[in-house]
Amino acid sequence: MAVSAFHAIADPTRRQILDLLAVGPQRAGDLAASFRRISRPAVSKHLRVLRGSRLILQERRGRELWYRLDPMPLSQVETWLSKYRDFWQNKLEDLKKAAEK
Amino acid sequence: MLASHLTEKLEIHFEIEINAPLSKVWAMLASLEGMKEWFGRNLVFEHKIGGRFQMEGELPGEGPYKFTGQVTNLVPESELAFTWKSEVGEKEPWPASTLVTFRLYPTAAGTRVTLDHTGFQALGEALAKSGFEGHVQGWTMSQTLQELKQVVEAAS
Repeated sequence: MAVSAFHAIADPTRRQILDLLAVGPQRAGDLAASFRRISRPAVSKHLRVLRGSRLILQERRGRELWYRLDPMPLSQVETWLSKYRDFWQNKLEDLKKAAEK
Repeated sequence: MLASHLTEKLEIHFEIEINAPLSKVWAMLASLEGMKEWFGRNLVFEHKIGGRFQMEGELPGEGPYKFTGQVTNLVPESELAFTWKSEVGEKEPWPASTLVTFRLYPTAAGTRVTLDHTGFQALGEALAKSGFEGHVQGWTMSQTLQELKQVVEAAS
């Protein structure tokens, strides 16, 4: 399944998972327990999407499964968007100049 | 914290304070004559909901570009929104549209304008759905849709 980083971080639960992992790696069980209103299978599905986009990595440590954040795909998104960020910043300044004339 | 940071990565948001009344800023923003003074010379803008938007030009060193869209919201002196899709300029036309929204707010000094450019995740979703296949290549810095495709490929 192809999942882009854009799609992966569009979902609020997935952003919350990334938030938790931004603090440090977490055990799979602890991560699922952090979401009281969401079923374990649903959390697992979100983890699969995040793994598919390579935003998180899965590691087996002994008998335990751990997840950790990999911010690399996010910096790729940011690089691509920066062209449009620059474009709009310039246009807004041009609008200001034109309106204040 | 990080969640808002992630949202920022997916969306563009800017605000600017303008020392001119709402009515003047709105005229600049939401009319073809006004837009030609700041947005671009080669424009199509139909001042009505459903109206056509098009912007063409050429960037030195980067070549021609063309964006097309449709006006989706038009509230006088308050809000202008239109869809935004790259047709020429990126290596391939975008597979979906994004959304550009301007909002105007009166202030003591004049007008605050906010700009939101959102919906970029739709490009990733459309590419993922199109089943684009290819070799995973390294990220280059040329900032084109090709790179976005590679993000999708790397994730497949």
